[in-house]
Amino acid sequence: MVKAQILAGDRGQAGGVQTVTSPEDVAMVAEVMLGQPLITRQTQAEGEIVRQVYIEQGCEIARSFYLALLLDSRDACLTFLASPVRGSESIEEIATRRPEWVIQHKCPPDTAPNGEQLDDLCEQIGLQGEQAKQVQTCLQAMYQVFIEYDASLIEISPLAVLESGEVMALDIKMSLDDNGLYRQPEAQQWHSQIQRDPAEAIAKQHGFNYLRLPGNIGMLASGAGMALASLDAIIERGGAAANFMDIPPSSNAEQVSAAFGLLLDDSRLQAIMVNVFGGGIMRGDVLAEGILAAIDKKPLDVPLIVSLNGINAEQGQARLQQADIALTLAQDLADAAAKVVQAKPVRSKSLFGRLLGQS
Amino acid sequence: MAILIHRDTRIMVQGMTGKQGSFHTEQALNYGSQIVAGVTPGKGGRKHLGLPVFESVAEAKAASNATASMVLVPPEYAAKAIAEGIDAGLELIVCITERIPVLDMARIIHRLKNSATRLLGPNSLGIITPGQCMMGIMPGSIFKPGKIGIVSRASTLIYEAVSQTTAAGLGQTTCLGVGGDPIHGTGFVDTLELFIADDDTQGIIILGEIGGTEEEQAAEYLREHPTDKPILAYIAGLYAPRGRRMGHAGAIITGGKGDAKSKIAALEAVGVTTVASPTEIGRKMQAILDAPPVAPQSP
Repeated sequence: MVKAQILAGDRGQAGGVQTVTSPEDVAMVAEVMLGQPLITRQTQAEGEIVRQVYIEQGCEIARSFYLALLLDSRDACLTFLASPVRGSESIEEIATRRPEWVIQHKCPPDTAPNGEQLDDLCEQIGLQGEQAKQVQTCLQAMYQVFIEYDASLIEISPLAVLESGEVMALDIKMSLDDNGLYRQPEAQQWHSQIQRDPAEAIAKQHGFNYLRLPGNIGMLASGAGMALASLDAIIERGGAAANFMDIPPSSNAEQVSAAFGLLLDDSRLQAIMVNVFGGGIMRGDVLAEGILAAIDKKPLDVPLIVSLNGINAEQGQARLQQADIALTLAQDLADAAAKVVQAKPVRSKSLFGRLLGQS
Repeated sequence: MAILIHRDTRIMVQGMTGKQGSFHTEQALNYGSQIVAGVTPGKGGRKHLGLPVFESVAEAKAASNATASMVLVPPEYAAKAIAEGIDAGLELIVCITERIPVLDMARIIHRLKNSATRLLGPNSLGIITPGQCMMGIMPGSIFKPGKIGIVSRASTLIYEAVSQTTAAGLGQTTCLGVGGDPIHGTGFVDTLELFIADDDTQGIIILGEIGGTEEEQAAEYLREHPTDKPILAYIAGLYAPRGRRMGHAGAIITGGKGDAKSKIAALEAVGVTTVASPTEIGRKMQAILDAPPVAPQSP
């Protein structure tokens, strides 16, 4: 088996898991996979570059199962999901078309499932005897690991019973709670090794969210809901956002500067929209200070549309207007979005400015 | 009447002596909130911002008769701080702190079950009854006492709804943020129940977004408990980019929904009016309130 190692599932459906029958074929398949983006239903639209492949011995599968453990936010319980997987259907298809196959078992936090409960669970998915015992050990281990590592999901898909009778987990995925990282030294190490878009890495370092998108309008908003609304506003008016960026309302000028700097570094941009409703620590003047500090380091080459409201909005607006930049103030996010999709790049002005030795 | 907090609500601040704690306590005091004590283990016995600081919630409660607490403690200690408040029998805990480990919050939810405490948050912007009491990080000056109850999952987005309802002369009874974390205390359903029962609240605004099941649960609640009060909703993220997803279990457990479109449909099906942009909120709510009452449909 040659398996693409990316941090997303559904690889099989996308050609990321291949069966081969000779060492030469292993090399050939691996070469095709490596360095290319793999797009599955669980990745972002442009997929994830495959940087590693896992090569393992194939096996004869007699029966397949799906096992998962996650925290259900509706009742705050650790919830086991278990199901036989028959035929060619995916677990999601099974959950939709044969929901009665998918067994759920709930455990409050810090209350591991007992033998009797697990006996019951295994019986319901069609496992008996020695195989049931092995699966129970697996389920108990899942629970332990979940708690120990501050996980948010552990998924075994598939758990296979081989022709030989052996029980084997053929693929395991685990998601960890970012909020638990501070107390997970092992996970911190893995975390630091994840290859990231450099802009996303800077964002993570400074505590805000950045997601690269295919487009040419840069955006920055304060607060996730506001950022989502800003993105909606741009797209509804026919614009193509180049990124999603949400900075916490508690950001200081330095964080604003780091965030805005990402937009200045993005050469695809034709315009930038900033939408902030200031309150608490993020006030209008803090926003202006951060933006201008970033522009000090790298010039603003494109029109900047800013909708700034809330605490110290007038001060912030005044500071921005005093600076010599291609600024347009907008009333609110709808106004800002309308203006930004119509903004024309000012490249000729900037070039002229550079020829004259201005920043 | 407004809901949950009023001018007489006595409040302690856990983490009052920290940077965030100090800043927001000052803002709340300036607004007129009755902050009566602070809690910082290790600093009991001191005074901060003119208020007594205690070692524990229990001590602070005994000395000051505070019934509510605002938690502004770092995420590593916040769950413990909330637990302390629950065990001391507080009526309301508003947790502003974000980034609390999810498992810790799951433990807190179970602890709340055997208590009379209500938790708002974590990762909440807080709660405010304009003109009476502010417990949170919101800019008090944009609020105006009035007739609209506002509940939001997002923080800054609520300020849009607030400034518009203030500008329209409608004002607000109480505004609160349920917070952005998947596992949290009071949600849309509990808040709707309170707003519907509150005589002063004549209109309700719900601000939601993609992810989770708050909006779906609200729709289910309204289906079983219909109300005459106009309800307006804005759901952010209609065009949200497809994020990275890990595994199938999340989708299995929620039935694969959670997108803005299905949330909007669920709410509209139970008579909630939705708007496509947050900038339409004030106008639309005014229009609904001005419109002549619709005659009840005959069964």
